[in-house]
Amino acid sequence: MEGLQKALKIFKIILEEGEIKRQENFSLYKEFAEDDVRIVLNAIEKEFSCRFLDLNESIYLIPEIDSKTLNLSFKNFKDSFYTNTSNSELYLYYYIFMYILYEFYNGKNNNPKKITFLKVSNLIDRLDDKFMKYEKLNSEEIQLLEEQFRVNIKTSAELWRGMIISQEQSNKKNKITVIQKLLNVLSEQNLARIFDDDEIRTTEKLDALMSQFYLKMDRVREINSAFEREEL
Amino acid sequence: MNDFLKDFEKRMEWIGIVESIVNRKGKNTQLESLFKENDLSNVIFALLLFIMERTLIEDDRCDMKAIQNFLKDLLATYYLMVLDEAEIKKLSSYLVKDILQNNGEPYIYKAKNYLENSYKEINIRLITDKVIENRNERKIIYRLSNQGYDFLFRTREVDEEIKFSIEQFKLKEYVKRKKFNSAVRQSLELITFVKQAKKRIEEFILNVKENITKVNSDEYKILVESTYFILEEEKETMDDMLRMVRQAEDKMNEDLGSEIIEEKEFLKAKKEIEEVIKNIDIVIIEQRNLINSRQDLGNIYLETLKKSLEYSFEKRYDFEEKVLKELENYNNTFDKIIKLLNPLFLPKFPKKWLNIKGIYENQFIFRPREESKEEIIDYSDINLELEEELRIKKINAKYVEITIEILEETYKHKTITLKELIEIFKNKGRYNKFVENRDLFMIAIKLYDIGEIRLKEFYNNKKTVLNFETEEYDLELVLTNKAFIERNLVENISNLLITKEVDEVRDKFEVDRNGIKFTEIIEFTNLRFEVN
Repeated sequence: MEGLQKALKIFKIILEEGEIKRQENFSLYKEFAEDDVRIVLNAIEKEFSCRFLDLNESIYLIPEIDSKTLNLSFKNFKDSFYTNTSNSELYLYYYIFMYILYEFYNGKNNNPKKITFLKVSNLIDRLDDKFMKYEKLNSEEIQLLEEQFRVNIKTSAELWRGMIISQEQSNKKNKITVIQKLLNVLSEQNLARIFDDDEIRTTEKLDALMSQFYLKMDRVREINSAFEREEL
Repeated sequence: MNDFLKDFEKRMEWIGIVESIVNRKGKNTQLESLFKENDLSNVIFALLLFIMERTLIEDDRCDMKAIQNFLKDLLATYYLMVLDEAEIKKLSSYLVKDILQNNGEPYIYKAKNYLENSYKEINIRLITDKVIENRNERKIIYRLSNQGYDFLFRTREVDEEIKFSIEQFKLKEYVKRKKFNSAVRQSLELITFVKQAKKRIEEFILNVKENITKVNSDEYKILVESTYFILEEEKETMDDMLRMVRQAEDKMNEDLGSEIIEEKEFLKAKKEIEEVIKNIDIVIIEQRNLINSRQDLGNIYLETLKKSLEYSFEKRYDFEEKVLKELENYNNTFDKIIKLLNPLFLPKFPKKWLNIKGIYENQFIFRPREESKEEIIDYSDINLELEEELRIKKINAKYVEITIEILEETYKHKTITLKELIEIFKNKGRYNKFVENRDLFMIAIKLYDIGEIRLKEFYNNKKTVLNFETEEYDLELVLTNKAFIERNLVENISNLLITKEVDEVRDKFEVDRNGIKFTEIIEFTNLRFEVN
């Protein structure tokens, strides 16, 4: 019974606060490793289709993709942006997000985090360069790339090109507001934040998740390699 | 390999640091042009010292705002430059983020290692930053890195220490080479240095006694650590030096005995050696006295500090800030009322979590339309229950119908408001259907969000969309719907513009849900539709 209570407390706090840090909540962190607590947490993982990860002395919760209760689905993610976000626009935002992750975590050392922060203005410049490069490819070449990496390149490039950079009319989509919207979503997830309206910084949570979990996935490696070779 | 090239790469670290500032890679010529030659480099170094000062105080207050204030004062006072808030903000950001932090990326300086005939990559990082969270407020504070400290101290703080060591080194070399005349001059230099240290300590004691508030604990710390630490080290070296000089004296006596040197030469050298020994003795005595005085210095400082605190302890509350303003802002009553209503609402699961893997999932690829094919590509892999599929199709058909009506009426009138449209739909008998699920209003809001719908441009781009219908209103799906295309509205309408009006729309209507009639009242800002 005690194990059940502790496990439920852990689950509750993670749902409310997003993580349990050893430094801030040592007793709870310690209880996470207890056998009877682990049994209950395993059952929770199975029922809710999620996973508890202990990384860098913090415990995080990752929902599985098919978890209807916990996972931020494609539709939910879309709703976090503008009310009329189309699928193609969402794929552009995915592309930007993948690129941001690549910029931060493409180091070759034990700690793959390469930069401390990324300026929004620099990000926009680099995306401009990337999408301009795609415009020089012919349809066949783009099609090949899209088939190879299963990423929408043509529509993303068109959408990006169609956006202005100015922030003058805040209800209109432009490059800066789109990136800010994306960062808002990430901020709500405690993954990244914007400082001084210009500096993108990752959180400890994202650093831990990327370096010790996501970067080991084949698909993530494939995309990062493609960015590195400048194919994507 | 030449010995003097040993550890060459370590020397080059300082060159790398200077280069990172002086040969600024992130050149913003607009900002740089505000300064005369070398002025900006001076400002950057002054800024580094400011950050060092703040780091030593350890108050975690060296944020961008503090840096902006410092630069504003510095430029106004010493460079006669008065910049406005926006310019100061821009300049501060440029200096800190672009120059000192190299836009967040590591600054690598490649130095040659001659021993291994390879290059060593030196990471240059003069400042570090940290995100501080305080009562839901986050800010970044800046600190000097160890490398930064090392560099700045070498430019002044340990200058005297190094000089002292250099003078000792020179004396040693002179004695080794029997240049006793030069050794005498060197020994006098050493006396000067130790007397300077003594003077610094005496001044500090005077300041402490005159006004303790003008002296801060960091000054005391630096004085104690640097001065006394140096003295301890130098004393050992001076003892060695004395031994060395006496050995030189003995050697000389031997040389005279074995007639290697002449007597005249011997007498001159002996006099000089005695002079050197006398001076070294003075230095050693002064050093010993200063080291012994350390305890006294500490006692004087702490006693004076203690006495000043006894008289200056005072606590103040700003009543207006602490009490009155808090009362004025007391607005959590509403939260409590909402909590009472909670049992009436459906339970809501805490927020959803993002699995980053989902971002990387294989995407459905949009394909360009070919002329002979239909506009819509059916994606038949989606597995939906037939009933559900039909329901969603029906919803989307209604969306198409409403959008067509809005466009046609707007085209007829050239410009029309939502209020007017409502009247028209009522007259046509279509209104109740259009507001069944508030569809008409939801579509109006979505169109307003877009702002301007460029119909002609949309069709000219020959875009094809995935026919993945959901309950949501998707304008692209509507525009490529067969029923919509058949109306050929694009022939007459290039663009549809939606703007806000000043007045409000208020309407009452009845809806039937599962056999139960509901009366709904809706109120929102009027919109205007315009075509061209």
